[in-house]
Amino acid sequence: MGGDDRIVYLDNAATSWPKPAGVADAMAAFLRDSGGNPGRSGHRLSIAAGRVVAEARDAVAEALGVGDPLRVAFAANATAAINAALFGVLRPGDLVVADGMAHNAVARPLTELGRMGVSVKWIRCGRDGSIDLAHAEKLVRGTGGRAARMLVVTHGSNVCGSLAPLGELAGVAARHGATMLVDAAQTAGIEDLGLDSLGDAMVAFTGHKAMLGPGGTGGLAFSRGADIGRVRPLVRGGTGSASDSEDQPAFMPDRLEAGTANGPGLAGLAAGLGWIAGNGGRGAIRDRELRLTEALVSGIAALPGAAVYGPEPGRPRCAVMSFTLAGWSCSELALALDERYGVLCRVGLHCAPRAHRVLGTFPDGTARFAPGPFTTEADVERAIGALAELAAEGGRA
Amino acid sequence: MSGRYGYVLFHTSAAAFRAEKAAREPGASGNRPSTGARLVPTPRALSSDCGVSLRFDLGEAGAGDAERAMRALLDARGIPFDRIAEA
Repeated sequence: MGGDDRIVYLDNAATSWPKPAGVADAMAAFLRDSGGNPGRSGHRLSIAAGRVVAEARDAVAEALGVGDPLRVAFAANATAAINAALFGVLRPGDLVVADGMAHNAVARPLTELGRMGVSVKWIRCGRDGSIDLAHAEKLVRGTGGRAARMLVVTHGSNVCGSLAPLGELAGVAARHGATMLVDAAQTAGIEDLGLDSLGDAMVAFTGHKAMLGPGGTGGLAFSRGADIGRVRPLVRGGTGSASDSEDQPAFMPDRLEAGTANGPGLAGLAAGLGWIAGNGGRGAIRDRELRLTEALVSGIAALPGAAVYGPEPGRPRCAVMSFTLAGWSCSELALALDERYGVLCRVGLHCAPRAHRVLGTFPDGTARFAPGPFTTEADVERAIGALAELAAEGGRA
Repeated sequence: MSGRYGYVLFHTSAAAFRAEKAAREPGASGNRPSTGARLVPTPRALSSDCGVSLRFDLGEAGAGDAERAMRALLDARGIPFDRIAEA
C-alpha cells in the first residue's frame, strides 16, 4: 500500500476531520464581515456577530432536544461545561454518583470534589462497558435517607463506544430527586439526546466532534425540568447585560457566559450543524457511521491475534471501537499504521483510565478507531487490510 | 414611518437576537409586527444598560395595536423580555 499519500482518518472521537468546507468559510466570514463583539455594543458589526452566535445557539438547542435556546450556555469545551456543572452544584456533604466509563473530564473534577468533602460513588460497569442499572439505583438511593445530589452519566464511551440508556438513568435520578449530568462529548450532534424529556438534567457538549465545528466550542445545556438557579457560576464577569450591577446576572445564558464569546468558533459550529441538517440529518449520518463501525468490529475481530473491546454486535453503541493486536504495543501499532498506511488513530488510555480498568485493558490501553461522516467503506477496508498485514508480521512490542 | 417607536427591553441579548429573528420571519404569524423591527442600542432614557433593544414602529393607527402584536409574538415564541417602552 506504499506510495499513497491518502490519509484514512479514524480519530473522529478525538476531533472530527475533515470539517465541512463551510465551517472554515463561516469562521473566515465572521472575522472578515461581522467581527464585532457579540451582545455587547449596538452597532452593526456587533449585531451581525450577535446574530451568528444566536444562530449557533438555535442550532445546538435543536441538536440536543432543548425547546428554549436560552437554556444553552456556551463554554470553551465539554470539559469546562462539566466543571461548571459539578463545581456549580455539588457542596461538601453531597453525594454524587458516576459511571465507570467516565472520562477524566469527569473523574478528575470528582477526585478534587472528593477531597473537598463531596462523597463520590462509582457505578459498576460490565466488561462491555454497559452500566449496571441496579447498582446505579442502589447508589443514587444512597444510605441513611441521604440520596445522591447528582448522577453523572457518560453517554457514549470515548474508549469502546458503549452507549448509556439515558431514559432509564433519568428514571433512576428522578426516583431519588437527583439531577442528571450527561457527558455527551461523543454523542451530541449525532444521537437524539431529547434533553427536554430527561426530567431534571444537564448535558455537557462539545462542538468539535460530532457537531463538526472547530475546537474551542462547547457548552452546558439544561432540560425544561432543570433548576438552573442552583448552579453557582464558576466564572463571573462581563455579559453585556445588567451592567449597572456588580453581581453576576441570574438569568440564562448570561449567568454562565461571562466574557466575550468565541464568535469565530460559534460561526463554524453553526456551519457544522447546518451541514449535518443539509446532508440527511444526524440520524442518517449516525446510521452510516454505525455500519462502518460494525464493519471495523467484525473485520478486526476476525484477524489472528486481535481482541475487540466493547459492546457485542447489535448492542447500543456509538461510532467508536477499541482493539489490541497480539505482539504489538499500542504505540508501535499506531506508528506503523500512520507511517506505512496513512491510517490515523489514537492509542493508549484515551484520558479514561477508569474505563480501561472496566474493559481490562489498563494500563496498556488499546488502539481506537472512530469513523466520521467523511469516512468511506474503502477507508474501512484499507484500515482492516493494514491491520491484517501487521498481524501477519507477528508484531513489535 | 410615524417616527414613534416602541422598544422591547431584554435582560439578555441572547433573547433580543431570538426576538429579532422571530419578528423578521416572513409570514410567521398573523400577530407579526407590521413594521421592520431592528436591534438598536437601548436608548439611554430607558436604561443605563449597555445592551441592545428591539425597536419597532408604533404606527399611525394606535400604539396599542403594534405593542399588542409584539407581545403576542414574544409570548408565542416563549422569548423572555423585561418590558416594552415608548421613546
